[in-house]
Amino acid sequence: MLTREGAEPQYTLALLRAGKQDAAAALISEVNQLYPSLRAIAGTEFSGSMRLLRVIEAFVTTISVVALVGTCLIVSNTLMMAIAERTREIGILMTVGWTPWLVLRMLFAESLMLCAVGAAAGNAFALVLLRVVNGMESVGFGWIPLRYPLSLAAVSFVMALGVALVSLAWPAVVLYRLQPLAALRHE
Amino acid sequence: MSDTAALLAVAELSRHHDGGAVKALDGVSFEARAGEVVALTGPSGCGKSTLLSLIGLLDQPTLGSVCVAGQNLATVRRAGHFRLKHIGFVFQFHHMVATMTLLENVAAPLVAMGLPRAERRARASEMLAQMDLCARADFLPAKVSGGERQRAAVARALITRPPLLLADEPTGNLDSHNNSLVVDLLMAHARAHGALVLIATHNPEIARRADRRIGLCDGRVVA
Repeated sequence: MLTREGAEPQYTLALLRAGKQDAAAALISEVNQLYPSLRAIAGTEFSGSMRLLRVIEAFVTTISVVALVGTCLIVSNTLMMAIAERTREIGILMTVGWTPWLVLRMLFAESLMLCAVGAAAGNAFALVLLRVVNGMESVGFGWIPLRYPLSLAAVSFVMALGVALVSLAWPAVVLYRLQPLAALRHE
Repeated sequence: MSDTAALLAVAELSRHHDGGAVKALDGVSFEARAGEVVALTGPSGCGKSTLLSLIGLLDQPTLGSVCVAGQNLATVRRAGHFRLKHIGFVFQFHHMVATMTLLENVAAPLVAMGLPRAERRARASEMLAQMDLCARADFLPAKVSGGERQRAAVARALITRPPLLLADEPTGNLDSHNNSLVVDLLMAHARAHGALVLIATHNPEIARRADRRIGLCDGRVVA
């Protein structure tokens, strides 16, 4: 049973056992006649829908992985541009004793900030989208969660941290190879 | 001069480019003691800046060795830590981080030392006060004069009280007033903390004020 905000709780799904296989068709027909607002379907058709849902889930997971990899590349590229633009500054800091690790820590803070802002914006967008979709009568009630799960928000921030860390890999290699003198002479 | 007394020992130091076709430095040897102010003189391109870069671990020699405080620089694995502990730099073009205030620039080496923020600010403020730059502490480098920037650069170099201070044409872009101010600060550091100050300069007045002069020409010591 699911509850939509400001509305009475509703049952969204009921499973009926027909016993023998030929009795199923009769039961479906009876339910559809007695309750025109409901839709009764055979178990085989329902399992077909479940397969479709699994395909959709796999598709969404693939899209999410591609989006994560894409985000890593974008954040990494942003950090590389930051290094390129600030090569001289990094050279100055290395000259006064900063280690590449310390410079990397500074960049990590920036990378983390980027990813945290991205995660916050993504969560806000998901929240709004969820409200809009749940408000649509055409979308079957119960197919989409009614409330945005906090655990999902937490997972998104953990993933943002992961993206921030992974995105640092290439900039870290560039920083460790950077020679202070070459950095100071960078135009 | 005995080996034990030398804070800096440079032996047969060479830096070649293009497979030896260009000899920026060619077999330079000298020693210098703590508390000395040594002027490196010579025409442009004679190897002064190259020599300072090699001593400051900013570049690797082709041949020869440099020992600072008894340690051969070829054996130093963590150049950043070594610079932080032993070496301060002052450059001709101040090299301040444009996005940091003067206070943050001066405190930058203390970040590398891992000091807490409050202590960093206190020490940097104190150092800026010594340079008569209190009122400029929260200004960005672009908002202060060239002389003030260079004094801030000296403050940054001195804040860790390095035993070896390398100054590459520190007064090259300054008027005579700021020129003598910066040289006074470097000399005072050498006297007060027993530091070795190595100044690469074209300025005969600075060379005259130094305890010793080392002349370079075509990458070799000539005087």
